[in-house]
Amino acid sequence: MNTEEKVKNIIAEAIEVEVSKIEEDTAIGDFPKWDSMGQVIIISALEKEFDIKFDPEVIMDLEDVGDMIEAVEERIS
Amino acid sequence: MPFVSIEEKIFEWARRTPEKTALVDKKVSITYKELVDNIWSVKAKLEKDFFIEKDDVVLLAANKNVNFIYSYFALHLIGAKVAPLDEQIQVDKLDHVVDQTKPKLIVGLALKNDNRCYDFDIFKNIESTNIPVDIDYPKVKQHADVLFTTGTTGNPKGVLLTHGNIAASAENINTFVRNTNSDIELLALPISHSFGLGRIKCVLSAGGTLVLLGSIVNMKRMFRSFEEHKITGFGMVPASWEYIQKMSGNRLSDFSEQLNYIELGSAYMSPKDKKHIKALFPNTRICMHYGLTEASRSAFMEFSTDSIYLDTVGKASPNVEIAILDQLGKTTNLGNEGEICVKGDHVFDGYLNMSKDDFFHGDYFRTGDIGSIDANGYISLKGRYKEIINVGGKKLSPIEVESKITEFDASLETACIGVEDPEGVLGEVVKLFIVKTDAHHNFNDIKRFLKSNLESYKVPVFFEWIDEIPKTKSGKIQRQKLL
Repeated sequence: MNTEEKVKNIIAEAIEVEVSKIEEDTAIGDFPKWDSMGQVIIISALEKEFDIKFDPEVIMDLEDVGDMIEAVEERIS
Repeated sequence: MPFVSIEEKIFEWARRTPEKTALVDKKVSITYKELVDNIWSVKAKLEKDFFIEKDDVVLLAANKNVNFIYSYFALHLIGAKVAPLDEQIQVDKLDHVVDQTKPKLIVGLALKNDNRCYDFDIFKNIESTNIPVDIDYPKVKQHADVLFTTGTTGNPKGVLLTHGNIAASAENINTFVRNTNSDIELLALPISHSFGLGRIKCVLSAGGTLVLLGSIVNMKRMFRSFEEHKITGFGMVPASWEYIQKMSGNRLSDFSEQLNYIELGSAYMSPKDKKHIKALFPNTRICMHYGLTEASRSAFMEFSTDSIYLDTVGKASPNVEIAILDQLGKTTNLGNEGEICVKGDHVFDGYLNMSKDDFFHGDYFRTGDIGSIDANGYISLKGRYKEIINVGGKKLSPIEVESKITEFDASLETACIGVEDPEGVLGEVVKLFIVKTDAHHNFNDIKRFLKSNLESYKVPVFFEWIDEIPKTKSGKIQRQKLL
């Protein structure tokens, strides 16, 4: 599984939707469970899975799936 | 204090400052004149097309839009009771609420094959109706709201609030927070709960401006709102503060010069966090309340003036009396522990379809929280008799989780408690104790089952085997002993 798929799977699991519903432009608030708690769960899960740490300034810019894929890719490459 | 209903105050502001902005919902601004005109037109529509009358119950999805606000106040003017409900309410809970309230109309929530259900669109483009000179405003003892809270049995309980209760609460809060008509407040709290719903009443009854924001989840949008609308007041729960910090560090303090007040909701916050927030906002009144839906904001503290009492929940709010009583309802000696009991015009009128007796000692409402009071009136919270767990501001009863496990394996004996979230974000998370048996279960199987049968915040984060669950002689679980 590549990074993009891994990120999408993590997000789907955190907000309890099928991964097929997760597009690059799916954003905070698009699903009922992608609320503030959902966002915290996603970010913690990404940090754990890829063994990385996001700074608050970066976290604020993580508004959709594409932002998250990009931020993870930048840190693991 | 003489009673004046929230509605009368809003209509009075419309007379005094008709062109002032009352509400901002996305790109739309509504003046006080437009606000009361719309409330009155919605009232006429509800009476004419839906035959709503005094004492009817109407369920409203607590959808943060102007139509919720118009219909909420319109129903009060008719004399009907409003039950605002979370849009995401579980079907079985909604069934329970419908069964308890027998509503005449349900707006914004869908029930299968129920012709009482409508969308908020029914209030779009409605005919305007002239407001008469003499308005029959709500009366002090008339029921206004039925707010559903997480009950200890798992089923939500309906808290009945009169117009006298909600007017008294708003007055007490505005006195403490010092809300005025020059305030512009950003409302990002959910309005299905007493805190968020209360902020609407506080700001509008003080003649201020309320800016509606779906939630704080999108931080950039939130900061844009602070800037664009020159926000002077904000309400949040401690879990929101944790979230804001995690997501944006101390960025909120860029607005400390313009913020006159921040109201913080009732949940645990460490003295260290309180000092930190006080340092970030040196000129802002940081008001933290202690309260329940049944007795909204019964105590308050302000982080600067009460800086040496940050480990307490503050003192009784203006016009509120708090006493520490023993199980028989007798006052305990100063400094001794007992049940925190509250008296005042803001205290609710009982639970829907339940007797009041068990919940009161005379005029004092029994909060179910254990605490003590010192010579200066500061109240320390020591624990609770009621056992609700608060995960990131979402509440659940431990019994809900325990009874779900019996569906997995009825022979398992379990007990849940709330423990501190080690990540420091959600406040509390659920911990489950399971009595060791011969059954070959592992924690992962149980977790997987709960995950597919419960909302995610209710799923235990920690699991522990235990030899025996501590119980009273009558068989009630002693959760305090598991902490």
